[in-house]
Amino acid sequence: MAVGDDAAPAATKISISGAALAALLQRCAMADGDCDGLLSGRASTTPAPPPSLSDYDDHAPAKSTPAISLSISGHSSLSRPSSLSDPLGRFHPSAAGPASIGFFSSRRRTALRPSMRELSLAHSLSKSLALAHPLLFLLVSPSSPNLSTHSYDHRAFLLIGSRLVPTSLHVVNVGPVFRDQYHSFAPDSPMPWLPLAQHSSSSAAAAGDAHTIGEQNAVDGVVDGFGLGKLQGILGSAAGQAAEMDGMYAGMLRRLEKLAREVEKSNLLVLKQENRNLLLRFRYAGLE
Amino acid sequence: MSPPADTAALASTSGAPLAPLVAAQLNFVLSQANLPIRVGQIWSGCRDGRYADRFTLAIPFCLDYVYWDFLYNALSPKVAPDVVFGPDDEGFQPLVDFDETGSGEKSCLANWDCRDTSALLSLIKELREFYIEYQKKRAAEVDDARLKFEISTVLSKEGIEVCTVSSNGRPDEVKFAVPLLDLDLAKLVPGCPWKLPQKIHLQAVFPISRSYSSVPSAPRLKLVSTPDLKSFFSVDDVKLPPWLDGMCMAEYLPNLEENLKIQVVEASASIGSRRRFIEALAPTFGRPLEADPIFCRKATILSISGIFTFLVHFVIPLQFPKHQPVLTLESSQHFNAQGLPIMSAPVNDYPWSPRWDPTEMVERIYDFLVDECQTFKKFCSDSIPQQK
Repeated sequence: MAVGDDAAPAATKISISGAALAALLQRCAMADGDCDGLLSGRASTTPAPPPSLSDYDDHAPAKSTPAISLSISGHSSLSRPSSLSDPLGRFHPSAAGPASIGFFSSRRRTALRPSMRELSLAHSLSKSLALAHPLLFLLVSPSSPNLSTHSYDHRAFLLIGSRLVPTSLHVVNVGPVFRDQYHSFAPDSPMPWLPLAQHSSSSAAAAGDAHTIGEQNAVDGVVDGFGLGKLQGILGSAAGQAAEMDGMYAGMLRRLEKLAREVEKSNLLVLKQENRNLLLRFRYAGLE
Repeated sequence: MSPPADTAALASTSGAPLAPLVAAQLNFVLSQANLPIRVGQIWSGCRDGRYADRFTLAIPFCLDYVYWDFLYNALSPKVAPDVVFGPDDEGFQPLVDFDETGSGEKSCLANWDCRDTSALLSLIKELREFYIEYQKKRAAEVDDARLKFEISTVLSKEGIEVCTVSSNGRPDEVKFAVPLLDLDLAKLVPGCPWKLPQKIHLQAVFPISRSYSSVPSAPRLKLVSTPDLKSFFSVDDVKLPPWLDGMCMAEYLPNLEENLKIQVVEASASIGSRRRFIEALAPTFGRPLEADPIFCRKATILSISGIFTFLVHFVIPLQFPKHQPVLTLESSQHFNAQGLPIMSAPVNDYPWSPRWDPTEMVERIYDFLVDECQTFKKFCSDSIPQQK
């Protein structure tokens, strides 16, 4: 059955940063109707605290069970109802992201109990993600008595056994409590590793040619118009030249600027298409 | 949960109209279902609240109702509705079971067509079937030897429904709803107006005994009929056979059913004698102004004594001719302060014998009314000056 079968329910702590929750609620409120999507984040198993940290060790009795901490860092959603599953609640495998730890569902003015389809989706998603921890489900029920005030009821659930068990959700902002999440953070940069060439500087141009197209593409993804050779020069020499650094920074800004323009343009297209779709859906549903 | 409202009023609480495709499906349910399904609250799930697209339905189950929320999306008409079940039915997971048994393709959700007006009704029927099975399974898990026996012997009876009744989160009673008499009651009444099939159920509530030593107590038994049946046959008048110690339902039911059958046949014969009584009114009182042609429970005649004109309402009981009709006199000339005609108190203590033939019954009532109408006339004229 579900992966979470033998998970200890009490030892799971769910947290979400204030910013991530705000973004999620904004998404739920702005959707025309209901919507659902995947939650991304990371799960970390907090080991029993080492004895040297006894100053902060106020969880000593819970040492026997390894605590799982799930932290939600963001969401992805198509802003429409039932986008993750078919009518029978079976998960569409194409939509799974790499760091999914669960899913959310927003339905306006409804009871904060999992629905028939959400339960089924929880089971099916849990099977397809094959998580090492219980699947997380966040149910949001926005209501807006008028368009200027919104209120959001929400409740988090964990799939334990065959049931979705209500669990408390901690909203945290950066502070001492959040520290363990920094500790478990592994930096992962797309910049290629460029060791300084051992031969003389006269053959720098030749060395630049020796890099693969893949490496150049990775650099282009971050900086606009900055040769690999120059980058290697900065990375390789311990001092690095200030002018070169400035050049690289300016290149990064250019790259960002270009990306922002692209996003702006494509957003406009998306918005146009959304409106066109909305009109078509209106017509299909027989609404005026 | 939300209180069930009148089925006719399909307006949401906020006044937003139901989205047309949803309304078509809901209207189909209300007009075509052979179960008395009722609509509770209707509300909107759209951001601007312009169209209502979600509602609570009261679904009949085990002589009671379960309340399920059906959630559509007005702006995504093609998306099949989702359902939120009651707070006590966490374990009811029809779609998960589909997935485990691989029978999902047979479900009406697998090929959901939002333009098919019968789609919602099919979904309700499908879910209700699963719900009945789910409750049977829950009842079978109850740890009580007598109940296990009852369930194993009775549960195969067609149309039976069973549920566990919990208090404090722990089941302490099991309720059976056993349909009785598989005869078509509508056939016993000529010209019957009933749209829904009429049924008589035995409701048996068994307490779950936790101690093994004590003698299990008798279940609470009650006959329940569909509301329309009341104008034909009243289950409240049926005396239930006694439940003996150590009895089980399989023993009890045949006796009860036989008993009940005789009374139902008598009730249908009673319609005939009531009809003959109403027909006998005509030669003496003139043609009735109004009469109930199907169950023959009511008739009204217009009568005159000197210049005093009055109506006589006959309410003919189900046990006619054993019990006599109840008469109410209504003046056509005297009105109370509210402008309503003055009525007499119901009269049912006039001379009567069930052995008289209908003509004699009517003649005796006529003789009684000759005197009674004078008393009534005096009563009317007395009550008028008092108000002035």
